[in-house]
Amino acid sequence: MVCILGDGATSKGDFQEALTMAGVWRPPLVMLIANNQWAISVPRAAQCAAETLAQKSIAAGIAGEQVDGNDAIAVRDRVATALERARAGDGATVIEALTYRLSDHTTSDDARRYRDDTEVSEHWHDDPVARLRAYMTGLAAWSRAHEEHVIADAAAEMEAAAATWLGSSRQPVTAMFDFLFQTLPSRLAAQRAQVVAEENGDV
Amino acid sequence: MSDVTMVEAIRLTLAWAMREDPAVLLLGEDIGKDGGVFRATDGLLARFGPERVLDTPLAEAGIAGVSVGLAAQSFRPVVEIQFMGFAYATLDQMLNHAARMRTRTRGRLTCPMVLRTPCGGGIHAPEHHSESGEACFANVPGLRVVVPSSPMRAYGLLLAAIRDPDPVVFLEPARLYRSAREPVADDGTASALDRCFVLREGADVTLVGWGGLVPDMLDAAERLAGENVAAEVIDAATLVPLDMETILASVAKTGRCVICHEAPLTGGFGAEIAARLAGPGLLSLLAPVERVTGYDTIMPLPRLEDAYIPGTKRILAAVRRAMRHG
Repeated sequence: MVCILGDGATSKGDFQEALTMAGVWRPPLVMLIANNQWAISVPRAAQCAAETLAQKSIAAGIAGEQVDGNDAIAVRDRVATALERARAGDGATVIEALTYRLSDHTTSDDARRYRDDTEVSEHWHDDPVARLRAYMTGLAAWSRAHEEHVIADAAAEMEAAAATWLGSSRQPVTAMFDFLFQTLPSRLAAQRAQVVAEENGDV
Repeated sequence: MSDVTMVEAIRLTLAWAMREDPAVLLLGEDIGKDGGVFRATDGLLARFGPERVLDTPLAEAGIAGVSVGLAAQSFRPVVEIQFMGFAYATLDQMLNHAARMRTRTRGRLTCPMVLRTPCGGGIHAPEHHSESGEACFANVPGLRVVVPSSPMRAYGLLLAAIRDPDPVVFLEPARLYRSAREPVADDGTASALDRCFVLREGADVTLVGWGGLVPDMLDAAERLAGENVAAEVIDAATLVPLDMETILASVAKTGRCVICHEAPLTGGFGAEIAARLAGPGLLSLLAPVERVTGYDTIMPLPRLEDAYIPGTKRILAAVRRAMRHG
């Protein structure tokens, strides 16, 4: 099992409790922390005073390490090793992947309210996509033409998905009663019937 | 006196309270430079400094727990929990500690804290950003629960909550943050924390509700007037302690009551009002008590939220059912 979380989530009691249990029960678990340095507006330094987030594993008695999260190959390697440990019954691993949030938190966030554009632009030099591209181009395993092809394919796939969503009608109002219980209790069935009646203007 | 939105009124209240009492502190996620995700604390860090406006780590149970300790030691913490769905993580601290501090210490320690959080749908967010969980807190002995529904009432009620000597859960309907403007005096006048607001008088039916549904109740009353039905509209505002006297007096006059809330029906706070009507109000009733509420389902995704949130149409239907009696 791989659990992916952010730097902010490591401050939650739930995370500490999960590590405590993982230490005792030694489940086949990899906790992958994408430490992008910002939990909305709260920077890593204001989130936790520990030198690393990976070291939170030490107190729980499980393995932990940091990896350069902007190095896709390094992340692949360390996660694979942690998965081997998990499969071999050697217990859980915390991996802290160090990266940087180049974008806003969400489309309703405006990161310029709380961090400098200069800080952000410096981190673009460490863009993991550019690094992987440079490395693979050096190996003659990647080309501009191939990349344009990949990007065009991906863009087309996303446009198609967006068009599908925009062209779809909303779910029927009864959808909110789906997946609530395996068998809908009679009281809820009555509410569902009421919603249908309201949709039909029959109230 | 200027016209402000509800979120601006809340900001004015926080600033007033911090100016009048140096013990008032704000704690929450992203409330500093970012000014809170809804901007309720915008500018307060610059004005009052980082020792009074604390951006916290992402740890709601910790935020509530620290505030319980601060409150017990003479501070007046006002906590912002970013969304209602994150407030449940504070329940252990609020229920087991904040609400019980005075009792356990037999009055030696108290817990004058306020826990603010947005509530309700209508902002096109996922379900854990859109809930109405007031009943969870209203069932905890020792907590006051307040839900404002206009800029003016938000100002008076939040100021009263901050000045109150006991813990108050203050639930802010997110879709009302910027939906309307109203003059707010910003003169430090608090409202009573145990009074309903009668927003419109009428002799035929009582509409009682709170939070995000209050504008719909007023809209329904306006339409009913065109049908020669005079609806009395009561914003309950403070659920605990509830001003049942005002509701009972209204129902004694109208004989009919339609209770409106966005939270699910079963175990919702409307059931408490209905139960009290069935007691001391029973002999006033000409018609069965109606409840217009959310369904007993999880808040659906944005495209369906209008089908979940009870609006004017469902309120009108309930009133018409009630008017067939008597």
